[in-house]
Amino acid sequence: MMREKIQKNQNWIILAMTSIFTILNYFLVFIVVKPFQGFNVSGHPIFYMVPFAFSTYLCFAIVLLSAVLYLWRKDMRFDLLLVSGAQTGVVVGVITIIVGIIWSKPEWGYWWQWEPRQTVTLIMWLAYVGLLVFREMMDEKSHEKKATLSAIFGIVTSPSVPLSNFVVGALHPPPQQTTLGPGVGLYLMLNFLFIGFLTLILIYMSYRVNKIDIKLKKIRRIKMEQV
Amino acid sequence: MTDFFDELLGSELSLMFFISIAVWIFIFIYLYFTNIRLKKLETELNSLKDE
Repeated sequence: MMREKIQKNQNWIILAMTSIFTILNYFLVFIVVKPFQGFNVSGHPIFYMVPFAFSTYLCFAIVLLSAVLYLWRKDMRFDLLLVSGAQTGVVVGVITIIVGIIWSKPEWGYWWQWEPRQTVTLIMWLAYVGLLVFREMMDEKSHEKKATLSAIFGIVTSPSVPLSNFVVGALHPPPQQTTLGPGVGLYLMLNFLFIGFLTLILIYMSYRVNKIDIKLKKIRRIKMEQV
Repeated sequence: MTDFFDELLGSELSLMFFISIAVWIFIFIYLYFTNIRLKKLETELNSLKDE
């Protein structure tokens, strides 16, 4: 009963959580945490951008893990997890890129500069969009073949994730150049936990949608064969 | 145009305001469309089950 109620209102619950989180962040950023040094305008967007970037990596790590497990066990649940991870990763990745674009304008004077880390992050994001497009384009008759090829694609695209994190360009100041105020680490960790949790909820939602979608496709196929 | 955006995003408060609004709107749009898709699929599945 309680579970049904939560499932029915899950979108409102997530939105309410996000709103509370946003208000709490304002409180943390402007009242509790002292301003940052080493930035032209503000280092505050770090509270959003870094946790979202790491949540994107989390999603793509789930894609890699599911791909390996699918190829090993041939269990369709891992295939579902792979697609859900990729879909959520693409969404969270877009948020990271948008926050980065808005932040870089006042901070460095450019919306986009094709700096190494920006470029590699965009390539990583496009690779996973490619995975989803490639999967949709494949023939639906053999789901196992589709899942195997997606898993291989997921493994092939995975090196872009560490590449995007470790290739540091001019626009991203190394940590030693910026000084964070006292207590920033703790608040940053809270944001990591919240955004990570939000990402896991989005993966779960996506998993539910994909599960029903696959069920429907199977039923439709059986009906077509009967006709 | 450049000066306009520099002024718009040039303070700590307005920068964080625009970033958090952008994140909130994006999550809202994503949840809205996921919900519509989920409801559509569930309805279709139920109608097929009834058949």
